[in-house]
Amino acid sequence: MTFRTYLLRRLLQIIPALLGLSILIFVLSRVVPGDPARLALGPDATQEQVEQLRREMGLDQPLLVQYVRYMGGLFRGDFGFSLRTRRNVAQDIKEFLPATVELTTVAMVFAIALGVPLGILSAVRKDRPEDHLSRFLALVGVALPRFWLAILLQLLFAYYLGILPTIGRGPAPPVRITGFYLIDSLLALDVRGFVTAFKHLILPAFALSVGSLAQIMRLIRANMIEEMRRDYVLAARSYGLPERVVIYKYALKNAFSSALTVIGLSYGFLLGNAFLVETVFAWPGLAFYGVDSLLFKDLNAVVGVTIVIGVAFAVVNLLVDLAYGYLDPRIRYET
Amino acid sequence: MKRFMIVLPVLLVSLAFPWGAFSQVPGTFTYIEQQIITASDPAVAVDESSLIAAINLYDPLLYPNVEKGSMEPRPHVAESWTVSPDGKVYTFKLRRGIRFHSGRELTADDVVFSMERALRLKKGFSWVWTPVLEPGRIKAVDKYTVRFELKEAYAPFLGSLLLFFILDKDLVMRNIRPGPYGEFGDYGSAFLERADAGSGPYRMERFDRATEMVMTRFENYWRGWKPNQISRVSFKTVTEEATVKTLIKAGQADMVNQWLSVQGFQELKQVPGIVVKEDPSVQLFHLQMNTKKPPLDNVKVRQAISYAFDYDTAIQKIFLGATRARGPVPVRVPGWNPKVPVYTRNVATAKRLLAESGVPPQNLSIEYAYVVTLPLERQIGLLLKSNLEEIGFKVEIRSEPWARIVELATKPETTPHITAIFDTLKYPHVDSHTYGMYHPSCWGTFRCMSFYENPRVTQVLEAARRAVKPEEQLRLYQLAQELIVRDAPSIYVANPLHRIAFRDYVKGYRYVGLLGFDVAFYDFTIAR
Repeated sequence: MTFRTYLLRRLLQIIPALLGLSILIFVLSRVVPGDPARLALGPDATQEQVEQLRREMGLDQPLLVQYVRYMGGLFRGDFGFSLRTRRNVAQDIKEFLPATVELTTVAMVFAIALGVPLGILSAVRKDRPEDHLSRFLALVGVALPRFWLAILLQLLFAYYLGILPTIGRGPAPPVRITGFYLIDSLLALDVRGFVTAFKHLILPAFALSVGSLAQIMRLIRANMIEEMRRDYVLAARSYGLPERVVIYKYALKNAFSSALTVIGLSYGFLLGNAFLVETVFAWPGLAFYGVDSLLFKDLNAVVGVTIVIGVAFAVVNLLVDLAYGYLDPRIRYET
Repeated sequence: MKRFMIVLPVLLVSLAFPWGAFSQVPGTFTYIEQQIITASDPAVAVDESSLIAAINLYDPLLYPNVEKGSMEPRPHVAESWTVSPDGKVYTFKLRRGIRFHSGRELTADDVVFSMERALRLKKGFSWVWTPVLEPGRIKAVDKYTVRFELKEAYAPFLGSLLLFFILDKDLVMRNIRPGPYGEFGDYGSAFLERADAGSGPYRMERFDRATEMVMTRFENYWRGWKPNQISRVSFKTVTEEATVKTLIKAGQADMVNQWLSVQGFQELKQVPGIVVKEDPSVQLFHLQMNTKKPPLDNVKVRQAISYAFDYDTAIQKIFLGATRARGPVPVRVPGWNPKVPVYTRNVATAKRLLAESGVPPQNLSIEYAYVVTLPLERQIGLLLKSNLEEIGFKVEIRSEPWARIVELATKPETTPHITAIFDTLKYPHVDSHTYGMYHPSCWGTFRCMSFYENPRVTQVLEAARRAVKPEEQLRLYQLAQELIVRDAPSIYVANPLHRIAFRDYVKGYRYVGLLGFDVAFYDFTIAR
């Protein structure tokens, strides 16, 4: 099978998954109790007002008609009207998605940048103090509730030490090109803006990354210990290769492939579950928007957010699958 | 690995350079609200955050008399008014020289346009006016005179105009998009969600819906500016209570909203430099009893429950301080009846009434519902359960999301026996907590989960609304209060305290009871 066929096949597999997701979330969002029109208009609205809004939203139509219309709109880039923000959901997603993607990406960079070296350290120093310490940190990382850690970090670094910002993303870069403040400030050659944006990212990204960091660290440790016992490591050492080359070039490459699954899944998971961290840091992201929409039964927003996160999840998993091929030639393009 | 261990601390230290640790323009007043501004269009605004935006960006026709600590309307855009002898025609003289942010003068045409727009949009507070007004009944007599011709006399009309904000007709009409309102297109709805068309003390500088609205002062504001007033406001949305407290404690916020928990305010009280202001609110916390659902369809059972409840414990231990509710109307609302009967805990009377009701003990099984996000209501439920079990009831407590409560309230069959509700005054008139809660026209909403029906009360309330003379209105509304309380459709528990926290250099804060009007930034000065 060629790479192109493989890619095409994987892309085609995504379509029924997303279609199923859209049906599921569309139906679920409409059977959850609560009248969205009344919630949007406020409890004092008259029945006439409520009925008018229901008509405007098409909520008086059969479910099937609503779904077909919604999907038709979706293909034209029309995600429907948000009852909460009173504009097209596509516009909301365009505004909120970059904040979450930026936060999640930086969180994953933190998780990998800290988790992999600490995992290696733990493996090569097995049963020594460094290993015990990293094991303890991993346990703490997995066990700590993210929102609680977020509040602690906020209190320490923003309130007591005052060296990092308490909330938000900081001032928007002078030009909005991608919606990612780090990238936009760099494109605008605004170094000060870049540093400010990064400082705003540190606490929420770290709080968000801790769970994944711990998982990656433990997985790398376990895999590295196994790899280091293999014959090819012994052979490499016997050839006199430097230990650094043995660890990083040979053992790590093999140990890393199974960690990729965790990284891919974590990334998708964090995209949709950054809610608590976004709440603590008043981070204007998609997860916060999605949960807020859910609480106020903003139907189009709930469906729109779910589909976008579903697409992101599918794309990340596709990229992970493709990366497997790079790391392990044995599974490249196999059927 | 070694290189990594060296680079990491260097990176961290370099980041400690104070760029962006708290990125705020100096001189900006930061106000924190825990809910997003759902609407910046004043004809759509209903919640507190949206109303605060409207109050600061727009001018209402009349304004509450905050200077005298009253919610009664006083002249504002309208400098005077007359009412016809039959109470149906209100004629307002507008103040000359009021400028919109566009620079154009505010005239009677703008007032007509704004009211007709509100009535056609059928959103926001339009429900207050739709019973008596429709497009065509508001007329510009001349450039500075506007006339409202009501279908019938309507006691709360004048007070309701505090919630009527005036828009710049020309600016809105220049920015309409295609929409369902014929020549008016979308009536500028999309435009008003990203810009303002007001004449208020502040103009919208930036609006990032989920995070912040920045407002800067309008130099040509008709009331003028004095030294130390606020020039620029950052109105931020932060939902997490712990974060809100951190921000004000760290001095990164100047004022935080009323929605923190009681415990949160107690904590802030201990912090030097922070003022926690407490005022009796115009909110009613009551436990609505579904009068259509047995055994609560029996008035003696409802009275028995009202006598069994331990009001003192609720107020002292659960609310940590509040005013005891005396009937449905909050005690600081003009028109509240001080002679209304008050139920106090008396278990013997409760048992006697229950025996007189003739309801067999096996039928004394009821359910209590509360909003899942409000732990205070759960505590009240536990107290109620304990009180009622003393007199032979079985009480099942269940929590529901607010969306579900609103849906349950639509029919008597689905409405729980007892539901805990916080109900804030909707417009500055006693009508809000009498007609608005006990006239059958409100059935189906959370305000009327008692489904109360007493033909005499209905008649009195209708007569009160139609009464022309204020004394007659007052007499009838007070009579209605007495009649309603005797029928015990609710357990009237408390008028909770309104609390708000701000830094001690903020002066001029005044609470008069109307949602949002206490956060009019124009009223504040900074005295550092």
